Amino acid sequence: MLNMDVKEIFDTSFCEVTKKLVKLELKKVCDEEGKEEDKADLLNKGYREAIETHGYINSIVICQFSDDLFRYIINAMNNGVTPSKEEVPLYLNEYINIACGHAVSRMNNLAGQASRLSIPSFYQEEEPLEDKWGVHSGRWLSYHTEIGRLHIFIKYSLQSENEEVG
Amino acid sequence: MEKTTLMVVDDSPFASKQIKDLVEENGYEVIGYAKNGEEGIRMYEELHPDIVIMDIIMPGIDGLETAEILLKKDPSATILMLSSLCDSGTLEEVKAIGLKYLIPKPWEDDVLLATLEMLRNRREEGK
Repeated sequence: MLNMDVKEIFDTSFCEVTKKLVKLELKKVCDEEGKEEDKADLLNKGYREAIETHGYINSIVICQFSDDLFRYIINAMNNGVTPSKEEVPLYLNEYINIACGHAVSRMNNLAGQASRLSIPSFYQEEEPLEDKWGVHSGRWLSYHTEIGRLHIFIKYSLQSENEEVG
Repeated sequence: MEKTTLMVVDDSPFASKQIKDLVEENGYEVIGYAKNGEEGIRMYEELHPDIVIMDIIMPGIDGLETAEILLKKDPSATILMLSSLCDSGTLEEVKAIGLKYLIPKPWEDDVLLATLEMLRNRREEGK
């Protein structure tokens, strides 16, 4: 297997893309902070964005935004103006698409293989994603910013491994 | 001198607005936005823009397939691909349909403008 730290690649991509797109520094919170059940609950409520990758890396990535951070990102991406209700999901879709595309491109280049991204999905009601995506365990990246918090759930498997990593 | 006309095919209003703000300050005119490939094909036939800026990942038919259809209908179409996926494999797919340029999202403004300038010059030379 290639020497590739998937979680670190996602970490770098989210930090770089967030800085570039919305001029915000993501500061990583200790990876294992918080109880597992509290983290899993993050998948079930609040503003969330999910995207899948297929191919060399098969993964599900879910971002959970605090209310303040959610508003900041969509406004910042729309030149400081709150987008219409219909457009809000499109801004967050673009955010996760660019961040994950950045990460997947790096992994594809490292592996010399192809993975593709799905169309992202936006969730804001209390719709449980834990069961919808079959995500009972996975890896977490948690960040704080001067605006609010971002939690990223990643569950993946690499084609050559044929086993889930989580 | 007439402005070079552009059409943007991207489901993201963020990308469309950013492109419009950037290019219209630099001598281009955006004459149409399409939110997906199907709309892009219809709009191209109606507007005949000089250059199409096309995202790859979109709902429905993706940007690569849309570009392929446009090129079959109009082999002289000038298309610049944009994508968050910018690995060597994706670039190969872009080249396989006869296109040369793939700009990563988020793009650097000067890179996007320089590529548009090059495409504009090539169109002019080909006339």
